[in-house]
Amino acid sequence: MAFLDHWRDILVGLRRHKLRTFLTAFGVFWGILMVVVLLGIGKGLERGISQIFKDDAFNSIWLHGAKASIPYAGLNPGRPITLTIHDLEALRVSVPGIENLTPRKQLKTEIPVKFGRKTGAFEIFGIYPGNQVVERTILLEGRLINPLDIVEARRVAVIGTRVVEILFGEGEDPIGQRIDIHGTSYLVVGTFTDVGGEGELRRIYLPFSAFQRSFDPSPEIEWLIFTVKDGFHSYPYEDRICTLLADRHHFSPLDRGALDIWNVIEDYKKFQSLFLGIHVFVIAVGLGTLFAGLVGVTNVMFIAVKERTREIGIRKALGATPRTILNMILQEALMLTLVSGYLGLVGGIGFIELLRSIEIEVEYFRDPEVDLGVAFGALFVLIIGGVAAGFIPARYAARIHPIEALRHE
Amino acid sequence: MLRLIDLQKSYRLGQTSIAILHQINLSIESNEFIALMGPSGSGKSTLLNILGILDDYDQGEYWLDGTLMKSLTETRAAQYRNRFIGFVFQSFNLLSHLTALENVALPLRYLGQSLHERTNCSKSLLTQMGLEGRFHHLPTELSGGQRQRVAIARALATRPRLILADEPTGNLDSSASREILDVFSTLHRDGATIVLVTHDEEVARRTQRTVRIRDGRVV
Ligand SMILES: Nc1ncnc2c1ncn2[C@@H]1O[C@H](COP(=O)(O)OP(=O)(O)O)[C@@H](O)[C@H]1O
Ligand SMILES: [Mg+2]
Repeated sequence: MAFLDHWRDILVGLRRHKLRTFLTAFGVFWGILMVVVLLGIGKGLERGISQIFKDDAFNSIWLHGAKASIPYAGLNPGRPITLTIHDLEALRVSVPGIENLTPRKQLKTEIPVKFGRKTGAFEIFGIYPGNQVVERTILLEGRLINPLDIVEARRVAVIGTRVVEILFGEGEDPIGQRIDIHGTSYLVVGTFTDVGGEGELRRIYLPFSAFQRSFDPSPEIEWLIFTVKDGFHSYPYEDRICTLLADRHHFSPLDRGALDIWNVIEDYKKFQSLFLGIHVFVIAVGLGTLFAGLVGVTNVMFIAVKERTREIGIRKALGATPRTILNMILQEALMLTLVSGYLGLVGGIGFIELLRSIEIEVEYFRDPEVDLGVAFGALFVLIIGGVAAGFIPARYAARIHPIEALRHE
Repeated sequence: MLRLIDLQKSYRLGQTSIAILHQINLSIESNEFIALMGPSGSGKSTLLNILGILDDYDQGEYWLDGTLMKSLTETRAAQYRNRFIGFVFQSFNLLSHLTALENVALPLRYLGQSLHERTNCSKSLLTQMGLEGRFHHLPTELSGGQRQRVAIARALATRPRLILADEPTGNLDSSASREILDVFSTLHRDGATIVLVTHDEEVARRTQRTVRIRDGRVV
């Protein structure tokens, strides 16, 4: 009630200097808009990049044989390096902190797979159970490949959702069915999905040993993958592995081209510190802008109070208490910041929603959003800021001596 | 009703302090109508402001309605101004962005009355002042006499015991002055206690008693 009562006074006070009020309000508006938009875009970037890390275990390291790039021990550069299942055993015994170690063998081309009268061409992988951890395979039904499957070389398969769609009819349960892979019969024991995209859903995972028996008995493998235990994240895996495999494959330990090593941990760390940096930057810029806006509010209110000294004297002569005057000025400041800040908040959210709705297809950017915490935080900062910005001028107004004020022109 | 005992007031100007009011002794009874006269600079406004609790004094005592008005907090002073005293100024001192009605209602707002109550009360006061057609006029849309009548209505709003008027006709022409004096006479007849500062013997003659002040002393 008291607040509504002051409405007219407040509006008149602010309207008296439209331009100055507008500019001040714009300062606060812009401050909030900046914070909200920047945080929203930051979120989009974070989500875009997180998406990439969601596909595979963030603590995984991927090795792939490449080509020797410098001459060594009389061997020519350009010689291809191919990893084998024996390298995997060597790693297991001599590199610390390793978990979920898995080889990956892969048929060079997609080959036809049959179920009944239906046929499709899919990617066939021979793996250890660890592969399902590094790939973050999401089991839908049945089970994943387990160690016993490897030991016994069972002819079982875990298939992606696209494979299910293509080979099986509506409502048909693939679990327990036998599919024909390149002339060998495999029992479907599980179905999976993966956030890595369409390609990964066209995969069929087989136990490594069964794959070797059915399609390619050679010890050569395409990939060697593992995850790193907690506490080993700073271990120099690249160096250690390079030295170990250089010895086994006769390339120079200094030859960084011989192996493709993708260390997700390093990328993840960089990404995390990048985002911490972006966050700090955004908040610093936003709060700085907002602070400048609030200083503007203090200024405008101070000038307004000075100009209304006589009016304040009259109010006091009529019985306004210091508290009444204090509240009046505080409410003006609060109103100025809340209205302009609220518009900034709405504008910022609107802009982010617009970005979201046009669904721009850019890598590293997806689903920008202003979360509720940011919105409430901004509102909270506005209320505190409005009161703080108004306090000095309000206290000054409350302390004005009525007689001196009445003499004021 | 009110009593001043050896009241003293001085202003500090740098190192020196200049006494403005010396040893003022004065009593005013309920329903008195008093003219306060004296040359310019003699301290009339200063005295009136002290009576209106707008200003402090240095020594002596000011009793209002049996209470000593001394070292009041700003909040207490504001409450006394609001409930006990109605002020009328030479320059009207209406708030220019508020209508006549809103100006009159302002002290009632500080009294804590609801919008409905104070609107009714303000309307009847303005009507009493002959301004029933002017509720929603801004001060700039009113003549000097009308403005002063709005100011008087505002001074009367909280039904104060004491009306203080500092040269209320000083800015008005003679016919408007006569109107305003008629208003004060009527208020007095209806029981108000009024202290009115004036230079004009003509005005003083219409009051009950004249207090003369020269160089800060009652003579
Ligand atoms: N704030 C002040 N500081 C110093 N002197 C003042 C102040 N206010 C009034 N005076 C002086 O006090 C004297 C009385 O002033 P005032 O009461 O306004 O006289 P009047 O109303 O009788 O003309 C004057 O000499 C004036 O200059
Ligand atoms: Mg005077």
